[in-house]
Amino acid sequence: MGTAAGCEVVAHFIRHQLELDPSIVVAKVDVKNAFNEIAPASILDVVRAQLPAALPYAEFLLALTPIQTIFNDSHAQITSVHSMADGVPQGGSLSGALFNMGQSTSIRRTSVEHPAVSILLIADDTHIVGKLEDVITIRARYAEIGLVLAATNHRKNVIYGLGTNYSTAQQRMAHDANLHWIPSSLGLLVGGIPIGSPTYMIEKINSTVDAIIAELQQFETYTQGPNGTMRARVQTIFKMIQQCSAQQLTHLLRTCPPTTTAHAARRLDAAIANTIFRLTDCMQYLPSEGSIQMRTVLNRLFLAVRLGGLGFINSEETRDSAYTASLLYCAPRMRDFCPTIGTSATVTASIRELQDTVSSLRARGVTCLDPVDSAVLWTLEPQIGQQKRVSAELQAMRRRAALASLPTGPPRHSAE
Amino acid sequence: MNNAAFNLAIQLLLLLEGIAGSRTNCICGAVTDCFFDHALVCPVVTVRNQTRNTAHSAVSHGLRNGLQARQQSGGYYVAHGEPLMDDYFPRLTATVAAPDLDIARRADIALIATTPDRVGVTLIDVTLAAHNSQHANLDFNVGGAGIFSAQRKHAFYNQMYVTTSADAALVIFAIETSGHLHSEALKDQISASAPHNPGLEFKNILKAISVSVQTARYEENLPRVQRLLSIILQHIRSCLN
Repeated sequence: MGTAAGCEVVAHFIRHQLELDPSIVVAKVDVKNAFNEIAPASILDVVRAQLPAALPYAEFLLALTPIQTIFNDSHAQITSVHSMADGVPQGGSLSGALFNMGQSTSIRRTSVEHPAVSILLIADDTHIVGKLEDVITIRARYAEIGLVLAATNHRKNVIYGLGTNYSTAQQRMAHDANLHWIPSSLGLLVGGIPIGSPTYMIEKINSTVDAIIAELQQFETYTQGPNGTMRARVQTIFKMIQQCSAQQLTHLLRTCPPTTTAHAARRLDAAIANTIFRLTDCMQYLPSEGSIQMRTVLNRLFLAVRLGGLGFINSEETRDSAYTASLLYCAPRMRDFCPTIGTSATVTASIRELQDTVSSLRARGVTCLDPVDSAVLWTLEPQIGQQKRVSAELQAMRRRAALASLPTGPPRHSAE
Repeated sequence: MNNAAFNLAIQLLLLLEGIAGSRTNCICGAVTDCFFDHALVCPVVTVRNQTRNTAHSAVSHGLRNGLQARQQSGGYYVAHGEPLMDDYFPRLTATVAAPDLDIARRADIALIATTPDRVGVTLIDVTLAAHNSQHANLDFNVGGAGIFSAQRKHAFYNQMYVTTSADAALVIFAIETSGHLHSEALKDQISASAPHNPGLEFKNILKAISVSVQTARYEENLPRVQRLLSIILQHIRSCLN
């Protein structure tokens, strides 16, 4: 979409529209070998018309002698030359932008022909949101710019809606258009974000956490080499976990409703804490599970470094602030993209979750958030840095607890 | 840090009980705390060595490294060695009468500006504070030790120098042994060194410094206290035998 937090805007928008009207569907169209097969002429036409200053450079990239790749197989004694006349340069920093420029003419024409349809692009993935009859017509446009669709399977060229009463004729129409219909009990991934039934979203988020936990277990093995030798220092692995583990879930925490991320966030927090305790040989000194002392230990584990903690991200605590901040930022952008959004009296499940989350945060003592009105939400100024502000307030509460728990009197030695 | 030292630092930071075994008292007779911060203020010279303060130098070294890595983009360079305060701040004449104040003082780090929009020289004085150091001033309380320590340092230097200069600034970098950072005075300095993402840079430097603090606490307190207590226990055992 060429906008900040584009993936988040797309995901929130599609989820909101599907929840608002069960007759609306989203089609995800995947182009075969997209970046390598787009016709350079379609890109140059757009650059010439809309960005003439960049035309010489675009021509330099796209209109000169075709790039030739020479491949030599020394075993088979064969040398072959592959010439690439179409497509955008491999690995070029402008290639993504050039590709989208090439698509833009067809996409804009389709938008004009079907004003009720919303078309959202993330790189070469195209998402079309609207009534089924309108959605399937976009396929023909790809042929105009030299592209063909990838082979249809359960992930590519799919159609999905949250409704349960689609007619047989509609399903037949999708089948004839070579689109795979995903049942409403499942869902689809939009920019890596699961959209669909709550069960589907929970499952996908948990599989992401499974992968992170598997990575944590792998990290643990790095401290042990063969025959008891050391491979990596504990400090190195500690730092890797601190910098790279919980952060992998943040994108999903921002874009999925908190009820779907609760269990996964709790699992990840427990896995990180256990891994750190095992790595740093703390298990023998840990207080009993659920005790006040254990809460103090976990509080210090998830407290920011500058406040005296170990600086790990507490996903369970972050999820509320992340989702709230993301929607508060994206809602006005969604209105910019689709002026009719938020004008209906119906409040969708995802917006209700936002209201509940904000109420919950305010009840916990967060003061930087006002109650969310589902009608006004769309016209607010985009709130940048909201997650940071909410997290800072939550951290301040954590810090107060940490300070209160610091010992000041004589020590309590457990060995006595 | 080696694995044993790092594990111990983390265990200390998490306030885990039992890591000190049954040892409860220092050789001076004072009750030790679970941070072993008593070693910072112990009156027995063998426990606390003022001339070789490893905790202070570990933090100072960590901060110097963090600042040095960003000096080119930050428009400053980190001067070699520890700068003399007299070279940058005019000395008050009254100090001549007080011999204990008439000593050439040094800050820990000097940042010399290379761009005109910054203060010419920023002197940084690193100080460590422990909220539960038992024998320290009563104002040392939880969370307030860093603030008190910074105020005390400023008052101390203000007795000797005119520190309100347009060309030089004095920054006290006070950090508590529990990891709490008092001053954000360096935030501007570090932020300017990374205009593309100052928050992240600041966070990274703090993380690096936190490791230094843990190293410092380990090096300063634990081995020494444990070693001394072991010696005393051995001595008592031999007396009993």
